[in-house]
Amino acid sequence: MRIGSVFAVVGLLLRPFAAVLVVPAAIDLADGRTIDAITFLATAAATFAVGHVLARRLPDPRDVGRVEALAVVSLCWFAVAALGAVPYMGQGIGPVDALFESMSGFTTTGSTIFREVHFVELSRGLMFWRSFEQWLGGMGIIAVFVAVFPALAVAGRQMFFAEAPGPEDEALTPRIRHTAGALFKLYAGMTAIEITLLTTVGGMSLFDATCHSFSTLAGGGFSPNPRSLAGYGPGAQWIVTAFMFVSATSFALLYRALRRPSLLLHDTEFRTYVWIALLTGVSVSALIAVPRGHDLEASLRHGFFQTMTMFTATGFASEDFALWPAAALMLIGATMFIGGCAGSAAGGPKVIRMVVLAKFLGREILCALHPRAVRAVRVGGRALPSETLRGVVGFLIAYFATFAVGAVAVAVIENDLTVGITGSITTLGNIGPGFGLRIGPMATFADLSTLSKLIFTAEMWVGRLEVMTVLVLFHPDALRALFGRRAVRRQGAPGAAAPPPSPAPPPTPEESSST
Amino acid sequence: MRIVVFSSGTSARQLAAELSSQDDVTILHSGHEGRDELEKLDVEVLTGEGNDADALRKAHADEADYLVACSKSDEMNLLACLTARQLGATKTICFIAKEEYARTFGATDGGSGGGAPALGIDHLIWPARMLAEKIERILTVPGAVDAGRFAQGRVALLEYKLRPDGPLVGRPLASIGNLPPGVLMAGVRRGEEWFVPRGQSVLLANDRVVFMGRSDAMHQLAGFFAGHRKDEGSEAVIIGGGTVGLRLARSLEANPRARLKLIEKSPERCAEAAQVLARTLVLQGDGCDLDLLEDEDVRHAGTLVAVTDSDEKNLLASLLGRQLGVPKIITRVSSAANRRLFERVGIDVPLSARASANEAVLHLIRHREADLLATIGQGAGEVLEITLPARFTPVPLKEVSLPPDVLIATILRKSEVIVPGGATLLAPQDHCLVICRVERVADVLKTLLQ
Repeated sequence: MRIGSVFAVVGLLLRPFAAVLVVPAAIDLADGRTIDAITFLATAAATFAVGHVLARRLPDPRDVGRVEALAVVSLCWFAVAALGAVPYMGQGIGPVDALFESMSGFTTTGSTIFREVHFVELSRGLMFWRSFEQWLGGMGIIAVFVAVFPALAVAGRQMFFAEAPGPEDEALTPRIRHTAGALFKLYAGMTAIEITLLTTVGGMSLFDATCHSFSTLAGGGFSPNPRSLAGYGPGAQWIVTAFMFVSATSFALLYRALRRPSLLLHDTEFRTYVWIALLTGVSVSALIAVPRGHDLEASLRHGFFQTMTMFTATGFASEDFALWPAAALMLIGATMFIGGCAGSAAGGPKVIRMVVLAKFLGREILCALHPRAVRAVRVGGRALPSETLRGVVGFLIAYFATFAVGAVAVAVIENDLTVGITGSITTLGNIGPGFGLRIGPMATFADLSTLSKLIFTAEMWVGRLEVMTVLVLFHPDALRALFGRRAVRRQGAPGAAAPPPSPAPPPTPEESSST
Repeated sequence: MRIVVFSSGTSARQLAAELSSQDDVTILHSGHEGRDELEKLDVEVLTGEGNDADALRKAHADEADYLVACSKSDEMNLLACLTARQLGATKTICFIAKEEYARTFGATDGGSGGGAPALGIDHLIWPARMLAEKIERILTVPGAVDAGRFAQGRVALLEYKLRPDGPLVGRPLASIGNLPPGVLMAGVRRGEEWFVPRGQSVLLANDRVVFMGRSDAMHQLAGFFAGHRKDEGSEAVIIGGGTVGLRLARSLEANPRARLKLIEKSPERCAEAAQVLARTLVLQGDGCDLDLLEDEDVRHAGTLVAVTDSDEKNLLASLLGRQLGVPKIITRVSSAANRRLFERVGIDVPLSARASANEAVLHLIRHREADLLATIGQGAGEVLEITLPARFTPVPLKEVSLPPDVLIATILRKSEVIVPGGATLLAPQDHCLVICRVERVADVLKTLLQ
């Protein structure tokens, strides 16, 4: 059973994860909340133990094929979310809510089941843990661990591709560890800059600045303040807006642009991203100015803040936009269906896929006019291979089908159209708040039924892993490969028994990039 | 001179026929196809491969002045050149079809010249590119049936076919008035005949007239001939997505106003073309399919270019295009026999990659003193660049006793472009662009270089 190998690799990745739980424990210990600190440490010990037991039967890295890689990514995300939920339960939050909140953290969503009272009662360690989860999730814990654990170098490469979102994933440096290391430095560096700016210019405490910076760079959206960014001054809001903008651009592109800034101007996705952000931001600012009675600066600030926070799938709030006019909300809502750039921690279908979709439609229209036309779909002057195109279109179909199923199910369960639709897209796109007074920016998901919360939890998980990564695991071929009895063991002799070629599951965008 | 030609199929027939009139030619022929044709010529024909040193030695490649490798396989041609040079051949000329070899071995503009002598390849001949560039030049000048650019674009050559209702037809040239200053009427081709017109000459309909002169002045002339069709160059339909069609489409795409359609039958080649061409509309279908041509509105195209590898297809597509009313039609023709046939049935611009390549080879071998800039009038005439030697005594042009029907069309003196009259003084180190009949080249060289 190859599922054993999958568990073993997940276990291997869980062991170092235990270490990061020590940080919130230290904060709680310093605050004198010994019991909460012990919860964190106990979770850390349990995580390490589980990881250690699982990792004892490590497979030969060559045996970790495509199906296993996908399974590792999916299960890993679920496992850390489940283990990360334990500290919440330790402070009196129910298991479903705890899983929701923890999943919301690791998937950098930012939807919360916290009520106002929780922000007062819960320990600062837990508040930090929430944002820290997002920061870790944002970097793609797998990518980090691949950089740290060379034992997985071969299969890890596949895993990186399964994790790296979007069709654009040229390796920056030849070795995947260097790439991951370079991106990690960039990520950490920008986090440090934002913390510095928020504490000095933005007037935040170091703790608040750290939590917000962690959430911003990851495109997360958890705030230790119940009023989110509405609880801080204009300076902090502008800083966060700028960093949200940066965090949703491709990190690979940013890294290269550090040496050659002109690259930004030539990148199709980045240019489209900037145009959408500018047009939506200006329009929203204009629409809210009169109804909310803001002056120019405040209109622009709230307009751009709220556009960027939803567009980049972050999910902060600079004021309660549940009170905004429907026209402005509609514009912001539209950006939720696009998401940030591929190669960032942002959620959503990604700008580049929308660009590809638009060009694909353009080609279909041309072919209706010229039935014999043969045309390549081009992005940035490069013709896309047809497999990539198929992958993108397949992904978008899967994405919006998942959205629709979730939306209908929750709308029926909750008897509320707004909750169903905006809740489904905000969780699937890893954005954060929904619209309306029930799940809006100042509200909480806590009052939803258990079933709705589970659906949303699943949508966060599936959405973070770009849908296909999880969906392929339910294909009969994948199930047979993972659980089947006739799974082939490598016998040592080279070439004796290659793993059975798993017939192609429904194509994924990752597939075209990893092959 | 002793010349060894490595060939396959019918690739060398025309070239061998022309070379054998003056030189000793041995043909090393790969395979049996086309061998009979070669044996009718006054040449020695051996069977063998170009990468076989023994076969080359038997063909006397070791003592040859030239090895011309023009088989259908690029790789064999390259190997034949390398081997022959190892054996001791003095110079090698290599035909290639694939772009990557042109890049690797350094073909320069026009597809002739360039090469990597150090490796054993003295001259590269790239017929497909020669043809594509020629088509592009002709295409971009409305109304012209031939076009050339020399001296870094400072001198231009244009050939027009006179329409029956044209203003130049039916009157002595002297009564027509002046051409723009800086332009010369350099030659007229009527059927197979080629002559330099005088004041009393009368031009007829369907005469092909060659003009040459300073580029700026030629521009005015082109405007005069263009009439109201100015979009010929930018709206083109290319039939055939082979090497020539692709190269042509790619360079025409550089013009932002270009609206191009490329029709190609093979789906695989279509897919390849769609990868390379960003703005051309690639259509999968047969260029001789009238329904397709009508659906795709070919009648409103400015130019139709038929460059499939089948002469019959090209002819049919061109005739269909003319039927639909396309003002300019450029047709690729491979076999020399077909070229005259094409002209007879009214194809305005039949072009052959192989013929241009052969002319280039002949020139490389025969007249090394002068650079062949272009062949005009379907191979009847040549444009040569001749540099006058330092010992040349300055003399007015009218006192130089040039052979009949030879014209010094322009003189490049340092940065100056001179369109000479009878009183113009020829000076040492002048670069003369001379237009003459092919058979006069030797006489011209004798006169000017002695």
